[in-house]
Amino acid sequence: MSTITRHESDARLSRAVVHNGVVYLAGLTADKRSAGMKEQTTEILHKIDTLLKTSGSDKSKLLSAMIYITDMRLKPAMDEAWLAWADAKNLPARACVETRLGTPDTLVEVMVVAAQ
Amino acid sequence: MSQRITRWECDAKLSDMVEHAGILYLAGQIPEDTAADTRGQTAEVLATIDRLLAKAGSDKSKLLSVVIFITDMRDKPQVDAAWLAWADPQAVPARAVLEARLLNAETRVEMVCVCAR
Repeated sequence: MSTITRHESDARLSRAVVHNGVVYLAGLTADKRSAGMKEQTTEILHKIDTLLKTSGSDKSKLLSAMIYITDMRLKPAMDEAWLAWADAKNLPARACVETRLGTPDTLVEVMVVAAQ
Repeated sequence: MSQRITRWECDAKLSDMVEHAGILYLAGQIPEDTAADTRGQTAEVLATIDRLLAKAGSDKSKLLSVVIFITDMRDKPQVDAAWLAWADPQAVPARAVLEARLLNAETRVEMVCVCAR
């Protein structure tokens, strides 16, 4: 049976869980919630870089990304940050839907799965 | 130990399907014919999933999980009708349905699948 490694765990969740060469990240949101959609997305994508590094992976090994945004009209701003960050040769399967998030000023949340 | 990753149907933003360690991850699939009703849109999405899985030599009998987003929970019976007409009754995946707003007002359904190869 392969082991499960957890990173940055608190009472409720782990920010990253690794099993069988696959890294599962928690839903990540921006700390700077006064920022707009593009900036919030960029902050989250940088958090993903850091967590993937901690987990022995990087964005070129992304498998899937689930993006939740609070207003579909802001999707172009999210996409702008995404395109500036993503590895164009190694893009994950991605979906983006509109939903309500943890706090009213949280505009975007991203949840990814990556290979190690 | 790093295993190979294969990606299908990539555009500027995403890959439609990614395979790693025998698992296929599909991007959110939406219908093209958004003039169709929710049942018709669902059937189109399911046909798209069939087509993508076939590219990797897999099929719906190997689906592991499916998350279905619909814009109006009152449409769920229509989604279920299309789903039941399509699903392999011997091998149904773990499934969830929830309400969300999608790409545009006309798009009624989106599905995110994970499947064994």
